[in-house]
Amino acid sequence: MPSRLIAVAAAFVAVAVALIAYKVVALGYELDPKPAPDRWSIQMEAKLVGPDEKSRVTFFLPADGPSQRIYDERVSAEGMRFYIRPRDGNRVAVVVGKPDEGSRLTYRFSMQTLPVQRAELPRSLPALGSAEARQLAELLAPEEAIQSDAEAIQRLLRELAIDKEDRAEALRRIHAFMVEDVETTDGHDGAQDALAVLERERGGIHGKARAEVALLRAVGIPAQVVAGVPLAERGVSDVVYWVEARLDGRFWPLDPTRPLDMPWEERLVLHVGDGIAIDPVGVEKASLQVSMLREREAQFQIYQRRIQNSDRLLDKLSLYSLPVKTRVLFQVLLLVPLGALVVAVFRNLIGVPTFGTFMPILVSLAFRESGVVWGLLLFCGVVAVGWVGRYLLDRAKLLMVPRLSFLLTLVILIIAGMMVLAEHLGSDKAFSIALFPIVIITMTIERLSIAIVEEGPRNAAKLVVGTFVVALFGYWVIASDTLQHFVFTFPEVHLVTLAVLLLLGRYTGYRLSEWARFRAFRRGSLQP
Amino acid sequence: MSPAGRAILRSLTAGARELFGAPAELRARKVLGINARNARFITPHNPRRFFPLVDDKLRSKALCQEHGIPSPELFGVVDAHGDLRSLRRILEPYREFVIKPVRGAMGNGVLVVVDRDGDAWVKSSGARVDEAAMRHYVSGILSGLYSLAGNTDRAMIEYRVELHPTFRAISYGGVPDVRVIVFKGVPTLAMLRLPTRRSDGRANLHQGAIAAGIDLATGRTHHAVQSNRLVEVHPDTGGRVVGIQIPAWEEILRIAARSAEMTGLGYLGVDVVLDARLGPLLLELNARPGLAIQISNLQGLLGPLEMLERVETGRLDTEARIELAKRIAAELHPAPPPSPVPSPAMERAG
Repeated sequence: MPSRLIAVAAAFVAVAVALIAYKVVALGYELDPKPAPDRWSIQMEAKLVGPDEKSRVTFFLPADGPSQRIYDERVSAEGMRFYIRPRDGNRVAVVVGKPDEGSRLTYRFSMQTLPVQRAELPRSLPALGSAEARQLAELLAPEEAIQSDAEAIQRLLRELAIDKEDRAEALRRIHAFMVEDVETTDGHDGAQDALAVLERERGGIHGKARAEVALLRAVGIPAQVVAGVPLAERGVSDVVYWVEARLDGRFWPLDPTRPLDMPWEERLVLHVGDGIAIDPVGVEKASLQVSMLREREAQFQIYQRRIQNSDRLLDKLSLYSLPVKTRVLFQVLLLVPLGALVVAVFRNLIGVPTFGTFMPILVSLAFRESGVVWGLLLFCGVVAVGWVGRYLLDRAKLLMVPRLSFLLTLVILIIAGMMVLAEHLGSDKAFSIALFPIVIITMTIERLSIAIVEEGPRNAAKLVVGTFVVALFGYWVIASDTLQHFVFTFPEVHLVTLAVLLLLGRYTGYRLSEWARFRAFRRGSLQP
Repeated sequence: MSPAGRAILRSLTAGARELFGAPAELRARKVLGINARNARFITPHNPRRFFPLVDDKLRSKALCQEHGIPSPELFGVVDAHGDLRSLRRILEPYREFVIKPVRGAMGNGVLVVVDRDGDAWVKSSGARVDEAAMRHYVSGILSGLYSLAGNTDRAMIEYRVELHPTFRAISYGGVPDVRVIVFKGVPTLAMLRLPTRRSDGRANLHQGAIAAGIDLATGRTHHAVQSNRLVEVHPDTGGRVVGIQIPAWEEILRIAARSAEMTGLGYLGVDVVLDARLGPLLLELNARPGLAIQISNLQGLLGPLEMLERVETGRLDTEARIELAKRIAAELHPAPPPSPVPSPAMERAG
């Protein structure tokens, strides 16, 4: 390889690295963007077994509170009546009826967590003033499942030698008892009221929360049960319950399954006060599932803000200064060179045959719009149509252009049929297919039908598989959020792409496929 | 280490050697890969402006006439769909002929007519083609069904080559051809391509035609493969394909060597057919010839190519270049390999 070429490539890489380093060190761009610290997209889904027209399902809905802000709520309850009702300072959803065939009962919303100051539990607590006690009377009174006035509770407190006068110490002892001595179960081990759980010394998370509240109330500490969901980067979770104790004029969260010294993770609060997360009437079984995803888009907003307020040249030249519509286009467009790099590697280093040079990237872009599963189905449909075109249209002796137009019409009809079918089968994801993939698919068909005639079915099949494999890898690159963010923030990284392409362009070594093709030379002889 | 562990380790190292040792072995055997062909030989030695001379068969044919290189006689050309009406008039004088796309590749879209049957024609397969079917076929060619980039094309009608008696016992359903790779005007490797039933009578290697490597010095086949497997006899006819003396070998080498100066292409594939009456005819030229010729010769192209890279051949005349080709072949391949079929005596001894 000529050394001048290597020098040029090295210079490209050096400039790219220098620019990126400057942007990171001096301008404070993030290499690996931290996800938005405080925003989640959350979906609650009520799964109902055997609902009928008279079913009436009530479940918790989150509300704005001191630790969270709820916005952008969307309900999907086709065929059912969906009401939002306030109840004891909370919000609940009341859903009546039966969902339409294939539709789901979901409630989606976005949430922003608000900063809450956490501090050490106070070492000592003054006695409750009478005004405060009156105000918090509800948090001290016994409830149906929180029998704080029962004799058994008083007996237990005596057994544990808990001193009601030193309330701070009493709280610590009660919590330690709940964490260490009361076993945590899945909640199917019997009655889940406070007394039953304390008697068995085991219970589900809801039962344990009630038991701890009962004990706290019995020593005069105002407390309540809270229902909610621990927040994670992404994932699915069930509703959990914990305790809030009122100490020193504020509420302290206590999880009856975790020691006090464990740090408190952020949680979505669904309901304050005792209650059950989902109450199905006229339904065989019901469960509430919460899935969440930490939002990333906010990072773009942060960058956009800093660029608007900056007078640095590189900030001003940033792609973040583009209007939103153009920005979205370039987020995708800037990944195409990486897709081209994937094609170059597959063709020149590995030797995978593909339709045309950039057809695989176009197919990956189509995958990006339609999703891989649908893309795969479409791709297979295309191959099938190509074969049909070969064998049926050949007999009809049509001219080339009408023949391909015939195929195009067929593709559009098939896609229309697939859309209708998807609608009736109740596809999970909204099946959206833009004009763009249809054009790509038709181009693929044209190539395919020509390849079948020109190179024979076997080679055409190889081309199909090759194109598909390369397109899948291309999709893997093009669909990556991390890469998209990185390339958009540091477009100069494409200098490295150019350098690699320069070197690849002068690669005169063997392709992986040639090791197999010329195997006779490795063995030194051919086999009969 | 346990026996199982050792076995795994052994297969891992064997796999690694297979994977990473292979390029070194290929390089040692002077095998030319596609990347090296494109970057080292085609790009620097074949100026793109000369490509139309070989991609357009009518232009190559005209060039042949200009330089006195024999090629199959041109009977007629169909330029556009409007000419289809006069197709019958063009074909009228000929009993047998070949129709092919002017810009086709790899023998695609070639229709061989061997006889006339009333108003219809008879294909080499024996099937009848009536006028409507013939028009549809030619229209397919004009629409670009077989052309390199799918662009519209023209159809040419030319003399049908008559099978040479030497090849009668080793061809099936078509005419064999000789492919010579020429670098800087000097032949480097040659092979004989023999059509089979599997290749549908076409001399197309990846469809299953047989390729027999030819010793450049003598014009004798020394090796034959079908789809990467060694063969001794033609699977359809039973005739021996190894040890065949190609007739008029010197003339074929001369055609190959002169094609290079005629086209100005430094790295060229020349396809020559042998006609029973007319002898060697230049059929087609290829500016991006394939690499399978190395397998049929069991010899890498890089050997002769690297030697020739260091030689100034521009002033050598045709005869001198053929001499050089033979000298290089003899140097790289001192003795023809012994027949791989052991004699009964050897079997007893070994």
